[in-house]
Amino acid sequence: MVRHMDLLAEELLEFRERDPARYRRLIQEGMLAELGFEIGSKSAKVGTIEEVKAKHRPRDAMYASISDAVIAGNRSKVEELVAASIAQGKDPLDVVTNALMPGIQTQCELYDRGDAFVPEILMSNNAMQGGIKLAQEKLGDVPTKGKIASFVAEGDLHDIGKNIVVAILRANGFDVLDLGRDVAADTVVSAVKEKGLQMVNGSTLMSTTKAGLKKTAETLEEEGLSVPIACGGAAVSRSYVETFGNSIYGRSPLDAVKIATEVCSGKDWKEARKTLH
Amino acid sequence: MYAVGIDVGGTYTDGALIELPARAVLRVAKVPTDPGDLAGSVLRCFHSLSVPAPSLLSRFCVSTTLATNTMVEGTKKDVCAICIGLRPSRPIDYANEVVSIDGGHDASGNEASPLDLSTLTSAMAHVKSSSFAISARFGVRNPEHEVMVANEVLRVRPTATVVRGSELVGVLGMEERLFLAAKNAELIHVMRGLIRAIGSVTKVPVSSTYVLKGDGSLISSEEAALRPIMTVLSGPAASVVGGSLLSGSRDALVIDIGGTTTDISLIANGRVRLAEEGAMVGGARLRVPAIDITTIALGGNTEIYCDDRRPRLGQRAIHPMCLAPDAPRQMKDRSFLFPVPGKVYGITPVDLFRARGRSDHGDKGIATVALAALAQACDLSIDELFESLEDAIRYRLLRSLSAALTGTMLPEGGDADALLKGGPHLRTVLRIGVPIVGIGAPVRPFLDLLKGRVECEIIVPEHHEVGNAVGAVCTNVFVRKEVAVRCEPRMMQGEEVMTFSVTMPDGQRTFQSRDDAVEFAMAVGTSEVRDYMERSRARKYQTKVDVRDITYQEYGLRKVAETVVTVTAEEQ
Repeated sequence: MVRHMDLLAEELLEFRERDPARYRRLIQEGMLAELGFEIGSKSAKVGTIEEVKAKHRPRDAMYASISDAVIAGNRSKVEELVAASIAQGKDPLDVVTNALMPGIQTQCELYDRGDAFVPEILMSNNAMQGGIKLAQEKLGDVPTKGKIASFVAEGDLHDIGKNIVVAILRANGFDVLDLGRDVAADTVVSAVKEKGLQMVNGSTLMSTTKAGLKKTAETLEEEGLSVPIACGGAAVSRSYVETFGNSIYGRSPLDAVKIATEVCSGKDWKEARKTLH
Repeated sequence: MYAVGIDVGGTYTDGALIELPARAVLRVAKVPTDPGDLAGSVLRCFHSLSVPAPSLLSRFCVSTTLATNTMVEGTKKDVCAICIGLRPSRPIDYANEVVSIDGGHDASGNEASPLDLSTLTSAMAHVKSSSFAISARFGVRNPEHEVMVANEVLRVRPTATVVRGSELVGVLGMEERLFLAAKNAELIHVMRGLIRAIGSVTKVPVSSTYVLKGDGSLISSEEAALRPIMTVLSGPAASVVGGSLLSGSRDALVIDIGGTTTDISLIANGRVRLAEEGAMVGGARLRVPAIDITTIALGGNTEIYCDDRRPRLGQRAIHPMCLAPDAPRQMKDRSFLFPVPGKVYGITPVDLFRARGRSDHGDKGIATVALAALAQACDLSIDELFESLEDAIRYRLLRSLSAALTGTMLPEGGDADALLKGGPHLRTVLRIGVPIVGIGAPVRPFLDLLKGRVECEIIVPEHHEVGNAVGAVCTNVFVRKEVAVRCEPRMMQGEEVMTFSVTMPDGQRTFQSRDDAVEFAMAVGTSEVRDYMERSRARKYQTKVDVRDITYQEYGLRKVAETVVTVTAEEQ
């Protein structure tokens, strides 16, 4: 633990010299460490914020304004526009996938670039949920992309990163069960059995607790559940995850979405690793 | 000194009489297999070899599809599954009785809950089965509870057959190990019966009888009767080992062409390459070590037919026309040219090669007439037909060669596929780093088609038609045992301390120092390997120990997650 904090502090100081503006923003968020930022290896920004927004913005003017309202995190406006669309005879499912989802996708991508922050994601998610609720009333259940559980490894209480992953997965249409923090392997296994989950997501910030993820992966395998675990967090690296089976490594919350998409579409952990590692 | 190898295949039982130590092939034999009477098939083959003095044979090696077939077809189940610490989800597939008791360990090999032996003892009073398969939660990390249960079962039923999951394989998946243990228990009786029957008909003492394993090495008949599941897929392994031995190349790409299929496999330094995921048997993965093999539907009996006025190379196997007892009557109508269901005789590569003059197997007149009829049906000259069919065969072979070498089958009709095929101005040649060794009766004309398209030595050794029998007798006893030292951080008085755990045959030991743990792992591995070699009656053997770290990067430092000690022993 001690060495870990030292190294992190050193990296932080170096980073402050190099990019003061971004450093201030991240410190403001107060969660640089919790997210496991690997300074320097952050995906290179391609295009401006406007270009990212334009990439996802729906063609239909009505849908575009719904998407913009999701990005702005304006729940009442989203609800008003979605209600109007449904009243016009638009398919509620189409509204969800082609108006609400592009909005949250834009926000997630901006977050991944460092151009948006956790509160904004939470607000956008909240706004989108308002729209989904209206569509759901019309439609019955909106089909989910898969059933997942998220947890923080046994002995670790740092859960900001996990909460972000949960929010982003939910925003991307997954049904996520939040198991909380300091969760033992057996608790995860019984949740998988009871709820029929397709994947679990585990994170940890401390190097002393990372063995909990390995233990969970192996217990799931031993019990023959064929449910893989996506691992992430500051103390976890790809090379560590590759020392045991039934697991896939993800660096950012968006990686969690990619892994969940692969696994819930029926790929096993080996195939998922092949595409993502 | 003489030795005999017999390979009981699906269609033929092949035999070879060898003089040791020169490994000179003295006599060979090929008789049809009677699937209902494997011992009888062995006996007939053995007789055709006219072995001088059966009781003086220095080695009698059998490779058989018995285990594979029994796995696919199943026998009467007489197995009680005992599960420790887990309820199995599909015991009906492999056991007729199930006893679940508390116990088992966690991923680190620490006891998860105490073993409930009293429930077992009271349940045993009602159990009717005579075989027992035992698997405990994390028994591969700490087999202590499995051993205790096995002892208890043997105490109550001293004559019972008991198989523990963790003594067969080291993979995670408690029910998978239970399944293997149950299948192994089922096979034990079948295998024991076959070995006894072979011994009594051939008069070869059991003490010089060996059975081939799926990884291409030999085990003593006693060991085969204990762990018969390890003999799954020993047939293909025998062919590959035989090909390598007959050609004298320890590194080779062995192509075994039979009537129905072609099996391609790589051999490196005299050992077959093993499939990472275990054997594929009857559409299911069995996590036991077995040869990595690429199989395609191409053989001497593959159907050739006319479809929409084009000549085609099909997938199914029929009988060659030029070997038909009443070919003229078969060819009376033109139906033999088309893929009619239930067809028995038709045109095959055997007919093509006979008509073309590439082989002298079968009736040349019949083959020529049949091919001429096909040429007419396809509106082609006879030479155009030959070329088109040989192209199809050559291309199917090239495609599977590249699959065996790269591990990926090129999708038919894709870009890579077009490149492999080439065109009038592009001839694609595969430069292969090892020689190609062909075995199986019809192999020579097939490999002749590859000339100019592969750049490597092509060897078709003498006696290649009984390569599998030669493989069975010329291989040796080999064992490989991995013992892992698992590094786990534990919190002791607020400090993070590394501990090192080693799984032993009857439990687990934890050390404070890595060196002590690695030394202990070496001792465990070496003693298990020695036991195995003794049980296999190997008198002279060489033991090798290899230590390898599995590491990861953390904050710029290399850290060790696990140290794997591998002990191998090979009979000299």
